[in-house]
Amino acid sequence: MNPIRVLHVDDEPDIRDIVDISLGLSPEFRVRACSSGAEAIAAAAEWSPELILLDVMMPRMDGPTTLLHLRKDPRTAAIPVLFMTARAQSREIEQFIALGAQGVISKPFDPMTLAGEVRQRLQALERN
Amino acid sequence: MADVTDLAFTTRDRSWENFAEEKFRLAVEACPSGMAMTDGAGVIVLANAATERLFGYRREQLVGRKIELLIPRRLHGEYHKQRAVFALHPQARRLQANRELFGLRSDGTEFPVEVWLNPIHSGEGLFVLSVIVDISERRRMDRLKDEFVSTVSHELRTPLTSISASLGLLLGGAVGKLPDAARRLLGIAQTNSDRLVRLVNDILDIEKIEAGQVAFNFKRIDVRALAGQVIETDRAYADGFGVRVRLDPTAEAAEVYADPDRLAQVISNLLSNAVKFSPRGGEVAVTCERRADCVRISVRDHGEGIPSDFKPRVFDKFAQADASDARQKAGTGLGLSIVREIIARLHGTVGFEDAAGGGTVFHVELPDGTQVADRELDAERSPDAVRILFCEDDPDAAMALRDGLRPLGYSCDFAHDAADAIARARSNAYAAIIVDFELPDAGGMRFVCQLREQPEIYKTPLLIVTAEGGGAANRQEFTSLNVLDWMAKPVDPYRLAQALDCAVARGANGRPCILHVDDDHDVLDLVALALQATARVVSADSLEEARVALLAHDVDLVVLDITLGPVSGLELLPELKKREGTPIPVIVFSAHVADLAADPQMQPRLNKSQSSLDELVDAVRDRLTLRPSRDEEDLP
Repeated sequence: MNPIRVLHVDDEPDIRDIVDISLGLSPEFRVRACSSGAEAIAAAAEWSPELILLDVMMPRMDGPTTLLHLRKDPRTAAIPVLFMTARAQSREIEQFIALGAQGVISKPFDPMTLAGEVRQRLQALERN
Repeated sequence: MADVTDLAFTTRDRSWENFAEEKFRLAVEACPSGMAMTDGAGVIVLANAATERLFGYRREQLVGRKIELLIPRRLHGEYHKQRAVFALHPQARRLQANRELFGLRSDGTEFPVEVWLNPIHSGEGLFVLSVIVDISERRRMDRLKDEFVSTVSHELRTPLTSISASLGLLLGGAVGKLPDAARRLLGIAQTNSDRLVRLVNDILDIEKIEAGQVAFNFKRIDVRALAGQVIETDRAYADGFGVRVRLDPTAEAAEVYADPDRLAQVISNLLSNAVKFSPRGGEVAVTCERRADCVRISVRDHGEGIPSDFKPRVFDKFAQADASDARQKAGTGLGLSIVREIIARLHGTVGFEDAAGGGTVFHVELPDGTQVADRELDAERSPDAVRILFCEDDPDAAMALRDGLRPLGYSCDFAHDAADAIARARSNAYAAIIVDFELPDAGGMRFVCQLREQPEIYKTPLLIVTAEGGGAANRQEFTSLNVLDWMAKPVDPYRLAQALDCAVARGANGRPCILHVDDDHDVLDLVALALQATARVVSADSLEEARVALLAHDVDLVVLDITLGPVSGLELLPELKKREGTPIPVIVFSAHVADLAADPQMQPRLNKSQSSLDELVDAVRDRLTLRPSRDEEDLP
């Protein structure tokens, strides 16, 4: 079975490492990390991941702007995106979803269950 | 002799008077805030030293000039509006504008101000004393605080996320089994990093709530179900303390009107507080109870209770009864402060009492969701939104419609029965009224007729929604009552917005249109404001403008000034006819009314200097509603 390609976007190198290790606990995921929105837009078009995990607050291009670019490009328009953010209020989550995101994983996340949570979200998206 | 004594007293009185006046003058001069007094025409008659300093003018450059000199041009319209409001209700108060206020210095620079208005009634009419406070420094501090909070939010959380996740991976065995001592040490590190995360979140939460930056999303909530969910979420936390949490079996089904996320936070904070102060093996029970006009949620623990000397400080920030108590260290000291802040914004109350048999009961009381009358006005209305009234007895349907219409530029107030609808419609200027044909206390037809009998709203466009879809026969009956459209339930907000757009655009058919002709712009502003609840007002400051307005609008009534500079407003009289030829009624509102010839078209004649705006409004309402021909004209 081919591994599930997950593109992780965060400007913090520590968080990139942690997500890499967390998802690496489960052999079904293959993670590629990007440190900026611009990098992510290029990588998503070229690599066609099955899922993008996207940080909200990033310098230069923030997560929501990155998402808008991803949704405009036909090559990346359909890739599911989950935002990773601290303490999103339900109204903010609604706004993210209105922008075209599929959901939010809140920070700090539990690194031991992150793989399971991502898997569940992907299964739920497939069912819909 | 008596005369001499009197004279001596008078002289002393005078000198006292002078002294008092001088003291008063010095006090005004020493006042650190700007003080400027204006007359009825907005001309500055007095300015203190602080006004000179604030605006960079010398006193002689200010006195005799219009106060607009000190206001940026783009705010002049707002100022005229505010002045008109003040003239209508002259009471001491802070100037409340829809936008931030700025002062204009002599060098053209601006600075943010707060303005307090005080009416001064004198024999020469109404003067206004404006107290002007420069709030540049306050604004700067607000900005710094906002920046600080947002920096803390991001800069503190980011490393904490990394620390807590790294610890989580190590403790979770991601890199293999660890020696016991290392596990213990990492456990301590993790507990404390978790606590820091909670602390940062709590500080930011309370900051945001206090600053009014948290949007509350009110809904009707099943409290018992919500409490059950919170208990499930917090069960693992309670297990960590060896405490059992449960929903009391006697908990009643009840609805409150609140923000579900925030109410869940309240219950969760009360619950974790109760858990922390319960003995190992103890129990915490949550219950809900319907009371006369509210719903009470209680959280009971079996701990040692709250020491009486600590009771007054329970809800204070970082308050701890016994700082050496290890259980308190697990908390942030902010949980109950957050509860109090949230509950205040949910229009509820929070309190606690000693429980019978030991322990404490915290309770929260919130408005009963089934009695949501005070939520019927759209609290989140944007100033630009078009206001409509929706007469609907099902709050869920009403809320759904409000939410659906808000992004389309409409603000929706509710009325849950006919009586309420009529009262609300009479006291607010709605662009349209939507009527649920199946309201409980009025048959649809009777209710619509009742609405149409109200002078304030007899022309407001009506739309009817009905479960039946509206039979053809019904529609026929209602065309005579100026009903714009019929819609089947559930109402599609987009379709409704389209119909409303039409209704608002053809406002002339919906609300009466008044043409006011006067060459004094202040009077035009004042009258427009006074009449805005009654009609749509078109203002014209010359005969030419009035002629253009007559072509562009279907005018129902003209308020006419006779002296328009060198020309007479009477020149307009032959042109004041409806398209079908009937004369448009005229109310004369002018300084010269005495020598006018009798003319039934021009009634009444109000002398500007002797009549109040209220009298003018009454006259307008009378003429609009009591015209004998109204029934034939407007209700064909």
